[in-house]
Amino acid sequence: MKRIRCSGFLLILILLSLADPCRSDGSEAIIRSDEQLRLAEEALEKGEYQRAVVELERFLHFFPDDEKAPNARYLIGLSYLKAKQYENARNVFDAVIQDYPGTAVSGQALFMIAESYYMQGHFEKAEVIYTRIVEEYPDPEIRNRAAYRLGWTLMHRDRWKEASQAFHNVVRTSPLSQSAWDLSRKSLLGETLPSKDPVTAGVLAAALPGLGHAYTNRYKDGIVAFLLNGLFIWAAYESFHEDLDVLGSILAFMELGWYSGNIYSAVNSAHKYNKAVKNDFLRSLQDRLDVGMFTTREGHVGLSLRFTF
Amino acid sequence: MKPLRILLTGLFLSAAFFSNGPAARGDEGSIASANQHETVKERPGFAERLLSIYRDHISAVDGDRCPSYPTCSSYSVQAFRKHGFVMGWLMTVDRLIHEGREEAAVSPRILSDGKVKIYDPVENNDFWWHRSEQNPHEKN
Repeated sequence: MKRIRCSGFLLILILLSLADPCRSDGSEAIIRSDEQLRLAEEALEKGEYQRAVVELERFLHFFPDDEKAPNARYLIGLSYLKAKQYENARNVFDAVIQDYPGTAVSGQALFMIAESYYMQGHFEKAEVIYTRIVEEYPDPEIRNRAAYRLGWTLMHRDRWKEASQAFHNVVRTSPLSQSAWDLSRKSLLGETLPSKDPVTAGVLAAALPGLGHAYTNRYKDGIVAFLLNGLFIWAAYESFHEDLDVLGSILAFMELGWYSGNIYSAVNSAHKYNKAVKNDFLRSLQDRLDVGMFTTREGHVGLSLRFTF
Repeated sequence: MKPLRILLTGLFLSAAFFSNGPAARGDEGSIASANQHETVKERPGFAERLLSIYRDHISAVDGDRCPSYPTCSSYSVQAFRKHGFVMGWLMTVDRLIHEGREEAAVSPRILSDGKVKIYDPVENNDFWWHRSEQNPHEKN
């Protein structure tokens, strides 16, 4: 009798649980593509680049065929670029170019590859890509941006007249035109910047250690170079004179290094002087292009400019 | 006899310093692209061993008085690893000569261990001759 009562109780429990099969204490979430992309963009805008990459990859996982998938991939590249992970950024942009050839986003991706080189200071490589965009891409705004940045790249490479021409190529209808016109004029001033000739510095240093440094306005370094070389030459001479040939050879060997290093140092000083003068000049100019703003809240990639007053 | 002794000493010194040769040339591109990553040699050369002795036993006691970042010994090791013995040597001599305050006029300053230092890494002294890697987006 007891067994029958227990079985009945269990049966009632089972029936009750079957009566409301959907009942659950948890709640379910529905991910919408727009909201997911917006979440990623918010992370990007807040500077949380690693989280932005995670959210964008989540977007691509759930919505691989969404029309905004190319933009999401582009934004992953942008997140890496902002995080200064240049190689990762280039790999992502490369894949975007391969997978969506001929589209606006592929043009943007190519521009961003050039930007990554520009940001790293690899101006030679950046120039090649900017030039290619200016010559080949149909989208006028990408061309204007590339022309604008090509001007900056050429200024970094001391090609002031070409830089002026590149800025001149930005069309009047572009938001960058006012800045480009201003830079087209000012970039020519680069021709008149003071400079030191590295060859002259090297020849002077070879003729008399320290003189090359003095030529590049580094008088204390010149005195150090002169004294070091003078001491080693004198010590080597005295050693040979006193028949201490091994010591003399060691000192002469060391002096060879000091002498060659003195020439290298003078040439390097001239290059560093020129670089410092150029960088001061470039800092005095205003760059209106901000790559960090190439996104819209709708998930499209686009152009925004930063104006500083 | 005298020239022979000089020649032998020179040969010995050259052999000692050049024994390990330059760093792996195949990796130079990656150094340039990464800017911060240096190629690591498995076996340190003679010059690097001398620098290690200086850094571990002399500089450690003498204290950090170098006004530049990285310190001269670290800079030297990086230069030897990146460019091999000859250029590493030249760049080390250059660093020792230009270590003074005149460098501050052309190089930025950074904060390192609470001290303001002149930022003068290897790439700031080889930028005018060291080639970086091939551009994969260059149109042929």
